[in-house]
Amino acid sequence: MSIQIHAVSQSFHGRSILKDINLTIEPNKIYGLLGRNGAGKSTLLNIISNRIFPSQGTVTLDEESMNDNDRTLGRIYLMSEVNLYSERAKLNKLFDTTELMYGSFNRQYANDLADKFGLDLTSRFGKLSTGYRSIFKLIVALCVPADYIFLDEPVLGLDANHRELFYQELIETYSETPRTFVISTHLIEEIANLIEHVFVLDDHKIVINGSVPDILERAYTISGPDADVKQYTAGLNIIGEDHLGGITAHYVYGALADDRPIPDTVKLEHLDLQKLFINLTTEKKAAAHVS
Amino acid sequence: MSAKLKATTRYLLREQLSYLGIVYLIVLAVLIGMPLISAIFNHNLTWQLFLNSLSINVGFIFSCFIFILPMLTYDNFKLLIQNGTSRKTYWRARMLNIISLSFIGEVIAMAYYFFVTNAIAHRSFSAGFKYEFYGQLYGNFFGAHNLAGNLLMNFIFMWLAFIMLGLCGMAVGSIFSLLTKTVRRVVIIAVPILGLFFLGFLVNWIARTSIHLNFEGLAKFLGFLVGFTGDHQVGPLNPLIATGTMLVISVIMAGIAYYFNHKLKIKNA
Repeated sequence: MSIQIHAVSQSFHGRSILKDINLTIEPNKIYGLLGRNGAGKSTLLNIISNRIFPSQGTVTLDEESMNDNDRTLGRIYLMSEVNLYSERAKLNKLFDTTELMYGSFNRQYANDLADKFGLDLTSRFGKLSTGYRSIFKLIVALCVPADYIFLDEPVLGLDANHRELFYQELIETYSETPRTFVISTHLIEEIANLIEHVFVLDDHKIVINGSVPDILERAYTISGPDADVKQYTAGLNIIGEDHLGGITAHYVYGALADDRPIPDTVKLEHLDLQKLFINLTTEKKAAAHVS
Repeated sequence: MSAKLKATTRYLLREQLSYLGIVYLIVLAVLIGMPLISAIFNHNLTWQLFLNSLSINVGFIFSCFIFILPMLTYDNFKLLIQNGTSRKTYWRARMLNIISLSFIGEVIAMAYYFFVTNAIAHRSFSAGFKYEFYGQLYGNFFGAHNLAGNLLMNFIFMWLAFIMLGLCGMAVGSIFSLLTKTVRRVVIIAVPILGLFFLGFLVNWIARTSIHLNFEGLAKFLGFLVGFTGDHQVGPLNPLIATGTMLVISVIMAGIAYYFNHKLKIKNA
């Protein structure tokens, strides 16, 4: 019971976008898909949802191919940055279409959400602002009866209040009806407490694939006088560093040396997800060491 | 029929029937309304002018519609893939849609011809049949006095002709939807121009060359495809052969549409 992405690679005009991606997306979990601009996040989501074809590799859901298969495609929903709804269509009609195609749709909840977000369902999709287009697509994503929901930049154009409302609704609907959400976003801090598992794409490859607590457990900031810090972190997997006056901070991902005593002058803290992401995806050489 | 195919077909049919209604309304407004308004302003509106303006060729209007509408492939593909519908189901639903829409179109075209155009011309059913496109070409094939048989064949023939046109549109649309906007525009402009140049070159070459080219075989083959048998006992043209030709073309077009439909993908993804 899962989505299996096996050896997926993608290239456009000889330029590599994804290299040998292998992932498992399990049921009833909230995932974060993180990566810098151009890392290939949207491409990966489009391949999973069969909107584009990979150059190599396969995607299956419960061992059934995702390629051109109503049974598997009908169990997923991708809310993408690209708008695939007709500009002329009225929002109410688009709900009808979704209901017709997916067989059911939580209309009551969709109407409640539209009220909460202040979305007029008699408007045409093309007349909406970027933020309200995102809101409309989010409402569909939360109300559609799919087992796997992929959200590509779900809060694009949303103000802080609407973003907060969306995160609350996501948690509520997830606790009432558990299903899988894969959230691809740049606002890492906002989803850090929401996601259970994270995939980090960098340099067209998956560099991190693990549960958030496990990953953060292995990510450290080691700070103190320059010489002491350097002495302590020698031989460790340093993924980044900062300097302020005589104080140095080394960011380390991976196991620490158990037999090495921590000097009194050195402070050891765990990194947050955003800081870890920034260091992993900025320092290319270090990221290559991550497993 | 799977639930997804049923839902997709229902969605497409509902959408395209509404487009057909809009097209007929526009045609009515332009072809009937405009001359009438002009006549009212010129104070020469007569009952006969009004009746004459109603004599429009609904079948021809529908043939344009059924060719052009299936060309619009990408917009519905976008919406359907967003809603978890496979390319295969999209293709099947479009096939069913063309078949059903052609049936409806032919019913409307035939009804309009016999009950409006023909009635205005004060012609009987059998006399009116001879003025129809099918009647003019194949009218005598099932016997001059077999109106029911001829009308039935007329219906089937025109239905199939609309299906063939729809499938041609679908094949062209499926190819076009794989091209970028710029390439599509270039193709739309370049193909007719290059075609004309090629035709001009061909005519010039044939005129200047000393080789004697015999097109008799080609003409005979094309004649055969539309049903020319040379057997004057049953009339000059056999609608069954032409029906077979349309069936073969329809199958080829459906195959082309299937192949390219399978390659559809979201642009700027």
